[in-house]
Order: sequence, then C-alpha cells, then structure tokens
Amino acid sequence: MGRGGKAGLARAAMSAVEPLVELFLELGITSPEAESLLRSVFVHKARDWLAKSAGTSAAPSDVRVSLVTGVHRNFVRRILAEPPGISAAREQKGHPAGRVLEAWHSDPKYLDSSGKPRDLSEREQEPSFHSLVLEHLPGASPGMVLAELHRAGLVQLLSEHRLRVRNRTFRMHGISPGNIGEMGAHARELLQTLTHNLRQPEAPRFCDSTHSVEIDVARLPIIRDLIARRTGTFLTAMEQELTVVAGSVRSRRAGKRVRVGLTAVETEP
Amino acid sequence: MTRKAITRRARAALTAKSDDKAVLEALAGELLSVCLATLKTYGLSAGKLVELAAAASSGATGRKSVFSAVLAEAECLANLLNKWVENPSYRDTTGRPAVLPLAKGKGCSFSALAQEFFPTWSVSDVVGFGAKTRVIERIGRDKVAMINSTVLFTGNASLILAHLIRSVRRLFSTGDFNRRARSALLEGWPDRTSIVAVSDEDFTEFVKFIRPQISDWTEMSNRWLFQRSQSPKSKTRKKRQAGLQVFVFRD
Repeated sequence: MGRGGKAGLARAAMSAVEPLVELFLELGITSPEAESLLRSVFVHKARDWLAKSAGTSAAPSDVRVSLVTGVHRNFVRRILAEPPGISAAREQKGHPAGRVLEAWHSDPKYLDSSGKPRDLSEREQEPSFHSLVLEHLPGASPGMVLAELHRAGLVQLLSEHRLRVRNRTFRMHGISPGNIGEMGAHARELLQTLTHNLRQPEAPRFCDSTHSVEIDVARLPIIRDLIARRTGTFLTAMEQELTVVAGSVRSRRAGKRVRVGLTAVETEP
Repeated sequence: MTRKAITRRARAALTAKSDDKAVLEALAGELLSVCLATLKTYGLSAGKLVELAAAASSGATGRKSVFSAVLAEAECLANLLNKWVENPSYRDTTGRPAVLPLAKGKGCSFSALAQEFFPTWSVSDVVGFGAKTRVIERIGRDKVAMINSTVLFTGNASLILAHLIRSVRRLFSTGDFNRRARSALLEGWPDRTSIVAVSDEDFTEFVKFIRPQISDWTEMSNRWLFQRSQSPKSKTRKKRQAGLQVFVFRD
C-alpha cells in the first residue's frame, strides 16, 4: 500500500476515534496521556495478533512486536510487563492547565498576605489571570485555559470579571471512572476506620465530629467556603507535619511501615 | 554581679517566696540594653537615646501616645477592613468581602466605609491609601475589591517602630497579668513559644508552612471577638481592647 493510501485509510478511521477523543476530553485525559494509552494498547494487541497469525501459543519476541508497531524493543518490553494503561511518565505530567493552578497556589505574586491564592481579575488589573497564564503556560490562550478550568469546576467566576481558584490539582468533576474509584477509596477508608474502632476500641483511630449547627440555607455558600478554607489550611499543615515526622531519621530506621492519613468531610445530615 | 551569681540567685528565687531584687535589677538592665541596641539600629545616636531615656524616666515625655498617632491612619484602615470582612452586609454570596461600588447608592458602598473610618478624607484618598498598602484594588472606574485583609507595615521604619511599641506594651500587659496569677495553668493568659535551631532553608520553609496557619488563627480569633462585641448584651458593657498577636521570630 502506498503512503497516500495508508494516510487516506488512517484519515477515514479518524471518524471512529473522534467519539473516544470526546470522552477523553470529558474525563480530563490529555493528548500525551491518550497517546501513551493508545501505544500501550497497540503493543499488547500486536503481540496477540502476531501470536494468532503464527498459529502458535508461544508469544512473539519483543523484537518482532517492535518491528510491527514501530515502538523501540526496550519500550515494548516495558509496556508488555504491565496491562495496557497510561505510562507513569506521561501521567505525572498531568493536564497543562495544572501548571496554572499550581502557580496560582505558590507564586507569591498571586498570593494574599496569608499565603493563600487571591481572587484575580480576568485581565484588567495586574496581577491578573491573563498574566498568570502568560507567565506559567506560555503559548496558551488565557481565554481557553479559563474556559477549561471553569468547565472542570476549578475556577469560580465572580462578579466584575473576577476569578477564584477552587482546587490546586486538575481533576474533572462529575461521574467518571476515576472519580467513582476515588469515591470508593474514601468510603472504604472511612468504613475501615469505623470497623477498626468497633473491633479494637482499646486502640481506636481518630474519628470525631462537631455538633451540627442549624443555619439559614441562604448562608450555606458562606459556611461551605469557611469550612473549605479552614479545613484546607489544617489538612495542609497536618500533611506537612506528618511528612516531617515520617521522614525523621529515627522513624526511617524502623522496620514495618504503615500508611496513615487524615480525611475531613463536610456533613449536611 | 557575675553571670554565675545571677544564675545561682535566679534558681534560688524559683523556690523563694519573694523575688530577688538583685536579679530583677540585672534583668531590668538587660531589658533596657536590648531596647537601646534595637533603637540604635533605627539610626538614633547613643547620646540622643540617653537624653530620651532621662526624659522618659522623669516623666517629661508627655502623656499623649506617639505610637497611637503614628498608627492612627493604619488603625482606621484596619478597622475599615474589619467591618468589610466581618459585617454580613458587606459580604458577597460566597461569604467573602464583596466588590463594592465607590459611590454611595442603595446598598453598601466603599464611600460609606470611607466616611465612617476616615471622616475628614476624600474617598479617592482612602482608595489611594488602600492601594498603596496593597489591601484594595480598583475594579474599573467605579468599584473596589479587597485583596488583603491585613494592613502590613513592611518597609516603613516609623510604622514598624510604632507597631513594636504597641506589641511590647501588649506583651508587658500579658506578663504583668501572668506574674500576678496564682496558678500558671489556667488562670494566666496563654503565652506559648516554639523554638528550635534550624538552617536558613528550613526557616524559609517554616515561614511558608506556618503563614496560612497563623492567618487562620488570627481570623478565627478576630471573628469571635467581633461577633461578641456586636451582641446586644455586650453593647452596654464597658469594653477594653483584647486580642491575640502571633509572630514568627529568629534569634
């Protein structure tokens, strides 16, 4: 098949990929992550296809898979060692807009005197969201980045074209496999603590709550904002204190290690 | 008196019923030298300081507080911000200080705040002062937003010195109360210190780590006090300024 023919077929097949790309966009999967996932599926599928074509049960060599897929044999070995998925290297890079969120939470220019991210004007007053994007994600259109962050529920649009950041990390909201998995993990952690406390009341894990306070429903956004700010600050401090304690020389010498964390949840019974 | 003798007598004073006058005198001397050494860093000569100390000792410096006068404008701005933060009618639907129109209208406005706390100033002067101290910013031509709820004195020697005097007075007042308290446990006012030797890098990290915590504690304290001071019961009672002051230090 000529080069033009191959390109033509690939273009025709694109229409089948488009809905998948749309789904990836909804799930917050970036192009490098999708490419890594596609490469992984490609390599796994090629191995199965080669084995089937040869009519043997023996797996084809990494070199053969490499020849068919065009992926270097070292990568083929690495990819085949795990089930198909996004490579850790790609996943760690995260969504490009994540760089904007990180800078909004750490660049002193965009923090208030308490060290927390300040509300920004869209572009009128420096420092603005516009300057933040230009500095930390050069080449990207601030309008597009804002639309993306707003769609993901990470930036709140206030009156007078002012913006408030709501989270430090890029994560799409709504029902998605990742979010459902996270919900399951949180529920499991809470149930594990509660059942542990039932079984071993002499060595309980911390589990406490405040008394519920009745408020006017109109004040709910204010209370939610207060809870989010106070608890966020407290959890950050706890995380840093735990990290310092866990990293101390004495504790590194200890043998068996366990994972310890803390979760705070707002309740509205 | 030698250092060794002071240590011995200070230890004895821990169990004695009355304080050792010689130890108190040595401590008073040290306090004065700490103050004088600090004031020298502000460019005051030793001779001038002796002159000022003599005037202060004889009570010739007058009763009017100089630091209050120096801090008066910053204090007014702090009170303006406090109302903007704490009064529910000045908050937006998310509970944060609302963007305010400059001109007086039907609802809340920056003009109303400016007039209440800076009665002799023009609104534009108050906006200018707020922008200079980086607590407010203009939104378009006719609105302002709060960007910081704390008036910082960083970079201004006379404001910092006035602030120091106020802080020292507060610290003395707490110390004075605590030296009279019978039990150190719950009768005294809280006065806590955390101190460990750390590197420059760790100290920088520490400041970054502790800043939001300190801000939250002071905000919580402020909210509690403000709401209590506004309650109908409290309005008729005699009041005195009270609060919490936290700062990071390095010896």
